[in-house]
Amino acid sequence: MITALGDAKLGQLDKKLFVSLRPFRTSPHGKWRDPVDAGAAHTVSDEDARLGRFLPFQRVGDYLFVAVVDPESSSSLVLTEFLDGKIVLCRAEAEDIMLAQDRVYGLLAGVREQRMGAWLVASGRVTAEELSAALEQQRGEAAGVKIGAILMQRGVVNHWDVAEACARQQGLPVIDLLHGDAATAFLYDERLKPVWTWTDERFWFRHLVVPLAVDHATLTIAMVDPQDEEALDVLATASGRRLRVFVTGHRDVMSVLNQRFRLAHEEASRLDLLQRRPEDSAFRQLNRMQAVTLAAIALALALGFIWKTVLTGTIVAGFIELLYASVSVFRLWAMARAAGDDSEIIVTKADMARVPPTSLPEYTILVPLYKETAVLPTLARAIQDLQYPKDRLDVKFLLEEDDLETIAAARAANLPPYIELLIVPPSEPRTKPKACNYGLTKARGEYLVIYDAEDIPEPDQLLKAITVFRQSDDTLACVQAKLSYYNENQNILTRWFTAEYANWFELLLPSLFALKMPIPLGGTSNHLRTDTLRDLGAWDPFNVAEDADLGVRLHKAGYRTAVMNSTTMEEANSDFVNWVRQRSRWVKGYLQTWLVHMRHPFKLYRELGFTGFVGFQMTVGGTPLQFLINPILWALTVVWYVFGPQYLQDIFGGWVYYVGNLCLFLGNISFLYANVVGVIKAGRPGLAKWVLLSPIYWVFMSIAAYKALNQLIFRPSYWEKTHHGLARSVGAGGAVAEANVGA
Amino acid sequence: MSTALRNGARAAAVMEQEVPAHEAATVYLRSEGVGLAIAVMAVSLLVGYDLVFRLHQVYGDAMSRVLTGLYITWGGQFHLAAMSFYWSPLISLLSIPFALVRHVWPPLMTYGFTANILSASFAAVGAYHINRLFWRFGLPAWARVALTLLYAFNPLILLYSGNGMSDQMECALVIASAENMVAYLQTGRLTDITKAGSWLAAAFMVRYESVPIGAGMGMGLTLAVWRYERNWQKANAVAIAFLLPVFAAGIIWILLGWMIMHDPLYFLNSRYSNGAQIASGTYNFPQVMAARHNIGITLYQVVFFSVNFIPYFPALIAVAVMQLRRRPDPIGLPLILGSLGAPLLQVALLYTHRSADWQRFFIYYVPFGVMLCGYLLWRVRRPWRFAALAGACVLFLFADYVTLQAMRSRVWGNGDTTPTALVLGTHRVKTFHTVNDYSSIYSGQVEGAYVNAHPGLRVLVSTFQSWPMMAYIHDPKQVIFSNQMDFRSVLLNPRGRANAILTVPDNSFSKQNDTINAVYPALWSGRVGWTKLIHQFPNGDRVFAILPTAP
Repeated sequence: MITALGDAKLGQLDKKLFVSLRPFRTSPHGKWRDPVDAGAAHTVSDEDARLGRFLPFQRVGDYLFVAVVDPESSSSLVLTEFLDGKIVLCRAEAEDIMLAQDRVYGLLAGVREQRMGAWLVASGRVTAEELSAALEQQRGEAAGVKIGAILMQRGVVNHWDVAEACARQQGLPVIDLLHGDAATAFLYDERLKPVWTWTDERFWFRHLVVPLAVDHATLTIAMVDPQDEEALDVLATASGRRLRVFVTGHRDVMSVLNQRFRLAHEEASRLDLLQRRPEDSAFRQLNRMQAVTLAAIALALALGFIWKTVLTGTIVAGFIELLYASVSVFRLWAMARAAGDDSEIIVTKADMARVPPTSLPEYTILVPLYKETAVLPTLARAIQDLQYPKDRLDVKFLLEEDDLETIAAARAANLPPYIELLIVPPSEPRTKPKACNYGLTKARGEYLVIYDAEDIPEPDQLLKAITVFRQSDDTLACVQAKLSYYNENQNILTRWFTAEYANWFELLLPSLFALKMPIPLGGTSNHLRTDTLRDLGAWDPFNVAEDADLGVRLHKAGYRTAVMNSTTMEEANSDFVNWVRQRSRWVKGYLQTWLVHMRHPFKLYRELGFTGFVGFQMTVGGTPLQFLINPILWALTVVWYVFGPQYLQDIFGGWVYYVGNLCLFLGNISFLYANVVGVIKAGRPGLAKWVLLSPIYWVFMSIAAYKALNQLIFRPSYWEKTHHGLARSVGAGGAVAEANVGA
Repeated sequence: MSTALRNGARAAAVMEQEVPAHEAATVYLRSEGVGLAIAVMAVSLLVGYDLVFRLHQVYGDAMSRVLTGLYITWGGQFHLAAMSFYWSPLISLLSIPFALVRHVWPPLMTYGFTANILSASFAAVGAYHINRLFWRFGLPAWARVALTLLYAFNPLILLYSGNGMSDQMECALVIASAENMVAYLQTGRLTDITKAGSWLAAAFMVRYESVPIGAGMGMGLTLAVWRYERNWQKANAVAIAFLLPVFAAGIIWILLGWMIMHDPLYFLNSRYSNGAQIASGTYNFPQVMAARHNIGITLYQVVFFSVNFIPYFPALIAVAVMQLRRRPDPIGLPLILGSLGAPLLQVALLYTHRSADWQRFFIYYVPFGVMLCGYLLWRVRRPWRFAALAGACVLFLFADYVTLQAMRSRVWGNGDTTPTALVLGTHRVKTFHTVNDYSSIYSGQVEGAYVNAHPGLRVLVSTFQSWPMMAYIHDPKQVIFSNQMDFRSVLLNPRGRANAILTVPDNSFSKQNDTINAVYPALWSGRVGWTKLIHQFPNGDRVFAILPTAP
């Protein structure tokens, strides 16, 4: 621009022009251009330029443009005498001038040790342009983020580069804990055993520090951030020794910590809840009282059918009909409420903007993976797309040790540095909650969320969750995002499945939230306060619907769960057999959860209150109950109308008959209708016509429910693996996901 | 922002209209609506009371629906299948609570006054929702109140608000459905469309006109949503949400008809259906015969019946013309097509000679005419607004006057001329025994008293003509009505199961429709060997004893 001006105008620019000396590009993918002309810069020596804090950066005709911090200062005015020709003094930021000097003159000895970015440039790990772009980001959207973290987010450097730069900057030695025999030999040093106990284990994970050696006077440690004053203070105080600090990489520390606590964490992931709250664990399905009660009911029924067949049949039929009708009425009422209002918490962009980026805490994302090579790239992209400072993301891919294929794929995927691969040691039960518990033991985040392998959360979901947490009191322990599917149109099964999810997440769960009832959490996208989760004993590894169980336990402990307006897109199961496996696991889990919490019904009533107790019975108990009862009632209906046997007319006499008909006609139609409303509310109107066929889907549900019942008896904690990656295209629901962003 | 709100905001923006500030106005509006509803109900009850107890106008259809409610609880047992499947069941179901408390005030059943209470209650529903619709159309309070009252006190509407018949009830339910549909189109709130669908389903359970009206509104809704949002899937989904309840109600009704009456279309095919009754020749009025297979006369009649509310066709044309604009709102189209549903049905029925041309069959011109006028008033901008509203009040007043004149006409007031004359005092005579079904009630009273006086009797009775006696029977075990499941079996083999039969004179009408006469055509004349005449009533009905020689 300067070159286009005439002489007269150039002269008028003196002292009025503010210039940026940062490299720039004119389009997002264009070539970087440096506004500093090396020829002009070298009209003075670098020593003079650095001493005088100025930089000649452009020559146009007779005019030499010189960048200074303050053109009005006396030292700047001297420059006009000092330099030859016509001088135009331009105002520039001091940092701009320094960085530009580094670019054209090279780095000064000594300066290298002071600035990480400069060292990285000098060492060839980043280019000047990459550094400049990172600095620009630091001034803008990434305010408060360290330059090393920004460069890592941009994929320019890795943890080890940053560690080396940091070490150089701080004048500290660097140590590699990943390679070589000596790397972990210190772990078995007897003298270090007490050092590990000087503070709780979470300290080591939170501050990313490990002890390397100790003697009477010195404690040697390796840490990622040697400027972590809190960690240094704690260790100095606890040890009473001088600290000798090595800088190391993030993965180095995590590797050491994982080895150090592997056994303890593995045991905790299995047994923590069982040891702390045995009555909340599904390790045993029934307690003695429940077993006795069940046996007594069975005996009474057997005797009743022998002595008073019709009366017993009528009582059983009446009880079942009433129960069924109650569940139906409750669910329809709850869904009708939600259809009328937005019962979930609505977070707007304006709400999110009120949360300062610098105040965002560390956020842990746990992603349990088992035989999921097919969806790894999608998953990595989805996490990369999350709008959250990556230096505050603690992402852990939880990989089973025997799943070599996924481990290999994950290692080969060139994942960004904030994603950690965590190998879960093999042990029973082989369940997702156990893997999550293992991940939780190493979680550093103040908040935590679970995503499944095939999940694509809305990019601002974490920000929305933080906003909800900030706007609520401490009793809000969990924020559930809504789930939906991106492959809804793959086949009729996926259409029904999507419609069912729409009903569940758009109508039922928001309504339960509004009614202050316990919410059976969805399997993924539940955002939790990490400390609260730990206090509660985390997930039950023996329960295959650990999410629903956790929702109930949160409510029992006096915490609330909210539903917010953010959606995670998942892959709907498109294969019938695979679907039955998944659904049977869910139903089994609901049955487990109901049995666990009904060990002490009166205590549960006191803990949940009336509405909570009713909500628990209707959702956690009622959902599997309907699946199990449906085939019996359908069969009886067919027999009644086709054969009309007298014994059925006797059993289903009077009001039992009417309640049955009410359930048959109004109940079924109402559920169909609720599904139609649900898909419209979820922005999936194309599914409405398919919903009309969903009674066939209810048959599938019952098939799965009976499989679940069988497994509950014979393999209660067996985890039926759902295979992902069967979707034809991931982007099918992209438009929907996008549409929901602003909702 | 939620989807619903977003839709609402977008709808409001595109329609460029003043959607009232909902929350602030809700409390006042509710008071206004409830106040009007109570007033309308009170006046309707007074009209009903006057009709029944002073003018002795008891409408047979209304009373028989109420007695069906009584029959469901007959003998102290709840027997839903006894509701019969001749017509839609809502009125009978709503009569059940009244049947249970009939001892408190016997006229609830003996004069069928329950029906009058119900029609007055539905009038209140209609007034409430038409008032709310006017509010949705942004009309000021004075205009809302005035126009609501002018609708509710339209002579035809008022008569049917008081007389216990189902026609005004249907109007009220259709208005409620339309009001909620308009609410959905204005706000995008899903509960509104579910309410609209539910009201329509309720309308189906009152009268069959809801089917063409619902089809018209549904079609209009689909086209409007598609035209407005350019989203065919959304349009389909909304139509499904609107129509599924009425569709389900129809399926249930058909299924029950199949299961219990062994005829899925029993309500169309039974001897009580319009088609069956007109086939008997009873209603072959000159104008009905003229319309038969003559589309010109049929159309003329259907159009001319818009005298029930003369602004209907001008308003229809005006709203239709407004839809030709480039970006109309989505509300006009469903109203237009919905309003055409009932007249088009009548065109089909009159042309094919399946229905008479009672004035009440064209009552729908009134609610739809009023709604279309309300829509037009919504579109009038300042400074013409006040003049338009005042003009509308005058127009409605004039329209009501024309309706009254039509009701007095022997041709156009078909079916309502006599009560109109009675109300206006132009034909004030002692009407006992002479008009409408009061004679049947008297017969029922006499026959019921006879049965009560002979507690040893167990009588077989056909409900086709002898239904009114049900209200007067003290011991339900004494009577076996033809609606009961085992009636036919007992009729064919009565020995030991019944000891008497009530039969009516065997004319062509009863021969075809009365179960007893149909099975034993010679019974009344005493030519069934195993019976013996034991009593004859003044109306010609006879009671025969069943002898031991009976099968």
